[in-house]
Amino acid sequence: MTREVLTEVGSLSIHRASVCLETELMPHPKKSEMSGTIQSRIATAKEELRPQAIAPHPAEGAQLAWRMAIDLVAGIGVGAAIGYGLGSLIGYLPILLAAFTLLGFAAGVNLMMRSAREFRRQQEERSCN
Amino acid sequence: MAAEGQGLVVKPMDQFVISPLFGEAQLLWYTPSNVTLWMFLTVIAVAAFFLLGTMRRAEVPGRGQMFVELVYGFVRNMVETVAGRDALKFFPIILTIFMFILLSNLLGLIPMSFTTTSHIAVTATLALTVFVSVTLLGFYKHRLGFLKLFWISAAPLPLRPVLAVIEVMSYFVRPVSHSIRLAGNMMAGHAMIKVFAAFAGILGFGAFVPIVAISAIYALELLVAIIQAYVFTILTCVYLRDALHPSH
Repeated sequence: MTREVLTEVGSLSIHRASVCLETELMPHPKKSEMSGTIQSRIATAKEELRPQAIAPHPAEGAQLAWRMAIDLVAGIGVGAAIGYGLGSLIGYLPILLAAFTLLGFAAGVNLMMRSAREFRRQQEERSCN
Repeated sequence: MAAEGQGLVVKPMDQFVISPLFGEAQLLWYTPSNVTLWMFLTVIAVAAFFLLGTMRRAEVPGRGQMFVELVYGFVRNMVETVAGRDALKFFPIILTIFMFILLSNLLGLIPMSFTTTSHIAVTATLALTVFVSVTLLGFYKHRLGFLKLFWISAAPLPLRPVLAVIEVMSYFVRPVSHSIRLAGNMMAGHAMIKVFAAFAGILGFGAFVPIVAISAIYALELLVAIIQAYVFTILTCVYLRDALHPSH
């Protein structure tokens, strides 16, 4: 029993060492929380040490939304411009205009997906491990 | 819009007019204009911020030096985390871009001043500088291997040519959205303030409503000014990372 508790405490201290710096700096539990069996205390300590996802600032989310919207519109614009330019140079204006506008839309979606992926990676990094 | 002096006079875009500084009749590309003046002031402000802040080079930094070190550390950290350690070579130019945009945004918030970053001509120049130099850097470092950026090896082979066309177009969309984002954000907020100011002009006693709104928008604009400088810089770092490590 004692051995079991000791290994449990040992693994807890390893766990405590492995969590990131912010949670490491947390104050020690108060006296009132020290009551109860050692198992329940370990459970509450583990619960306290679990890293919590930090909510992003609302302005950050708005910026991401703006970035996506502008990427999408700029994609369509650039696609249409390339299609028009190529079309008036080598002919087949309607076909090229339509094709490149669609490609531009695809490019915009591509950029949007990429910034979404980046945002998710940032979130994961932020919630440390 | 309406007759002068009477009724609702909304001229939100007048603040963006480029006018010759010394009253020349013609505005040519070399004519000193209000854009020249405010860019010059921005450069002076950036230099003053860094030079005055670090002049004493104190062991224990004072308020000014602390702030300079904070900005320096913030941008350096951003370059390192976003673009990687080998991108730190380019940290000086990225800090320069950040400070220039930040201070021209902030100087533009002074009443009666001129916001240089609200012109696409200015932001497009900045974005194209980044775009061209990053592309040249990619080709210089990786030769034709840089084209791997557009060739997605994770996708099935028949799809790759189509995806390559889309990737190339995405690459060319980036400088466009990079410049439009900054100019659009700066222009929209400033124009909105002017519209509310026009309401304040005709409401007489009820003018406090638009004035409160203007104060709120001004606070928002302060946030936008800083965030847009940050966004422009972080995207520069992202493009730099793509140039340094083109394979996905």
